[in-house]
Amino acid sequence: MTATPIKQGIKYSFGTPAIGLGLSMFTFGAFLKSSGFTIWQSFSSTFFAFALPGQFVMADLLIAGGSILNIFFAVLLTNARLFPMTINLIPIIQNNKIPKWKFFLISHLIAVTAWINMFASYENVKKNNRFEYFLGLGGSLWITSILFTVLGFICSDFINNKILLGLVFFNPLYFLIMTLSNILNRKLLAVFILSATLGPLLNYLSPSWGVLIAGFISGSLGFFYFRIKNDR
Amino acid sequence: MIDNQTIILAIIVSSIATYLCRSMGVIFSSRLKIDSWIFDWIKCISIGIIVAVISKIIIFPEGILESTSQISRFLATICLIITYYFLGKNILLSVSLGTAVFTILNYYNI
Repeated sequence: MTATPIKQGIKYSFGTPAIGLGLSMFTFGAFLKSSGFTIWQSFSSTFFAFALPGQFVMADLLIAGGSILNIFFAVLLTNARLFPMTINLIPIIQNNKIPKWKFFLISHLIAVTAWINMFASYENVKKNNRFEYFLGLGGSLWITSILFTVLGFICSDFINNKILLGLVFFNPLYFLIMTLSNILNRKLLAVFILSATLGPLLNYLSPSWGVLIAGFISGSLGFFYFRIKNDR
Repeated sequence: MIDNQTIILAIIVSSIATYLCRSMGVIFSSRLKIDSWIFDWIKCISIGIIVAVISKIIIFPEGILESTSQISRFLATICLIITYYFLGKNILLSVSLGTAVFTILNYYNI
């Protein structure tokens, strides 16, 4: 019996994607407990504001005594990467039979882990099945994240802090290797090298905007250089 | 200790800020074709931003990773890349080994 697209998506997310995100969310849950959050507040943070870097920024700024307006703009800047990522992912899952409002709902599941894994696997899924496939993939990663945030909150007293700290590095390493494994041509390799160099440099000059500017410059340079070169 | 009302407000504004980025993406994507050059360009920008975020986390981390040593983050990254390319491109194995190197180095304050 063939699995439904939604089940295929769930199956694809199980394993390394879910472990990577789950471990980081586990540490985040433990971190929230030590910062004075309640279990419901920790749950709500991942349920409603699902995107780990932004969640960390929110908690860090709260601890540092930042204002609510400050938190809003810091999270907006940190999560601004979701804007081009969503522009990219929606046309892939686009299907005329699905009403527009459902795309606004499913966009809540777009985050780096789901995005990278969707791009790594969507070509094996029929165009009309991709919406459901992503619902399975992104949805199971979102639910895993919520569960692990709560689990981290509950277990934080039983786990050594240094081990918890180690677990939080699993996710950036996973992002790095997944991005590298998706570099299939010289254009994306150029973007990768440019951005890995420009990112820290521009971040040093402007911690708030550095990442976005570095991503925009390296992505545009890499893209237009190869477009002009191929046109000749 | 942070008071409850402030935490709830912070979660609400973070949720709005995060969803704003996604919903704007849905609006702007409506006329985009998968085989157009703009689609390809935005994909390059998305990958550029993701790589910039990762390199920032490794070189200039903020928050709880700030307390870890630069050398542990570098060595873990090198271990990750070497094991990935030399052990048959096994993602779970290379990421687990990289994380283990990072955890051990920080456990012993290296």
